[in-house]
Amino acid sequence: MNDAQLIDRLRATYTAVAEQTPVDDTAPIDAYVRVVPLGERSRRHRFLGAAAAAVMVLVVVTVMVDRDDRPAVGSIEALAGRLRHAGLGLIPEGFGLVSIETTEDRDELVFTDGSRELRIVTERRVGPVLGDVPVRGRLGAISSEGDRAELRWTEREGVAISLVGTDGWTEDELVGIADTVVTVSDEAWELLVRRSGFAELPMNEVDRAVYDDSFPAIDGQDGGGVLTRSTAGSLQGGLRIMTGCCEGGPPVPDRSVFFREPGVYKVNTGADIDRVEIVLDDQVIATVRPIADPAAPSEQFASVRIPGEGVRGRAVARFIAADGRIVDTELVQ
Amino acid sequence: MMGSVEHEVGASPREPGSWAPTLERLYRDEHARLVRTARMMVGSAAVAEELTHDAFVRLHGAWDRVDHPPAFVRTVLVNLCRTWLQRAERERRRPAVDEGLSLPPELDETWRAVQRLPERYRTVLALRFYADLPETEIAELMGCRPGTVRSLLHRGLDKLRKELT
Repeated sequence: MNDAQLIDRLRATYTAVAEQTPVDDTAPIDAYVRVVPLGERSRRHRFLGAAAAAVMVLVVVTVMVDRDDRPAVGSIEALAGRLRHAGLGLIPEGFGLVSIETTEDRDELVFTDGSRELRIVTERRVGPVLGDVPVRGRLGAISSEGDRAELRWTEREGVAISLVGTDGWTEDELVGIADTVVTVSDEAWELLVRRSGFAELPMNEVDRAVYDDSFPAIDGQDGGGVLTRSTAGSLQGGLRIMTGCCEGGPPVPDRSVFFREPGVYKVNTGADIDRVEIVLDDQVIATVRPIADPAAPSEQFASVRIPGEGVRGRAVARFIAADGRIVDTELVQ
Repeated sequence: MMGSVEHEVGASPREPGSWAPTLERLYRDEHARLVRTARMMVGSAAVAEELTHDAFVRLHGAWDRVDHPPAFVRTVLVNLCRTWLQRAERERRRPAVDEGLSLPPELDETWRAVQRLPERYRTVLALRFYADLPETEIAELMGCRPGTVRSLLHRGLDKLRKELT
């Protein structure tokens, strides 16, 4: 087969595969809809999971062994199937949970303070959310009509979530509340909806392990490591992500990255870190090997200057142990 | 009560009748093509869609600082795909390549052979022969010289030919 024949065959293959790659872009985009970024607190919840992983390695092992029937961590299936229900992390002041409706495909929680109402609706289906704005990830579509405002987005796990506020909610308020949303597994949800939402997830480590979730580090399917996330609290009082420090375990090292001037990052790693990868907006990755700072022997600092072109406004730092495990992540603004 | 009809992302003014520089518009125009291009690189449709969404999320975060959003999102997507492929290679992990596909035997054989190629060859072949990008543009996307792209194309085709025989 000569080059021309091979190229023809390759093009035909690509064309056939493309034709069988369905992409739903047909949904109309409402004129009144605006896309807003959900804030970094959502990311922080994920990042706190990384910290929890550092102190719960044994729990991870136990959980993974007990969950042999699950898709491999890191697979799309694993992301799609687990955290299928949503509750609020921060209940607005004066609000109480007055209604819980949950079916196989949908959950709806209604909160009210007597004058205003807030609903959080979870629809379990993978794909474009609500047929309006097919955005996914931590982008939300916000819209308002009359006295009703709605913010909706699709979690990476394939869970479509809507926050609906009536009687005077502002966009900023909804975005702020969305940042506190915590998604939980079927097991956790089954417990949480008991006693009108007053039931609390267990605090002790052994019982809590049933409700822990393991997922790939750094938001996704690139297999960068395994994180374990523990959730505590109740639907009535608010859900929260547990970290090791709150459970009386060993303190989580204070890792940080500072964006000091254009292109220069200062890294404080903690002793258990082998290297730090700084992933820039344009996906350029810089690797930093920390060095001991004589002025601060208990900490390790390093500075790195990022050369070359590209966007340098924001970066994600991955703190990586010698075995390749991502121990922590930090968003650098 | 909010009643905002804000539709634009970023501060760029929208002239009547002109191309509206909105994220939504770009998403609508480019999303399908980018997903399919990504699939030609990574093999899996599900992974391609995830990575494309990630690229748009990153574009949204950088919107005010980006001069040419279509180029930015394409660059980010190619980098995300390459990173994903490199990690998959390191971990000897291969996504399912036949998810929902029904191809004639000859094309199926070719598709599977492409998936066995190293990352750089898969990338360059997809960008050249699916996305139809010129070598200079591929070089910019991959951060190399056009001569390197030509070389990768030549060797990529050779490797593909060997895989097929």
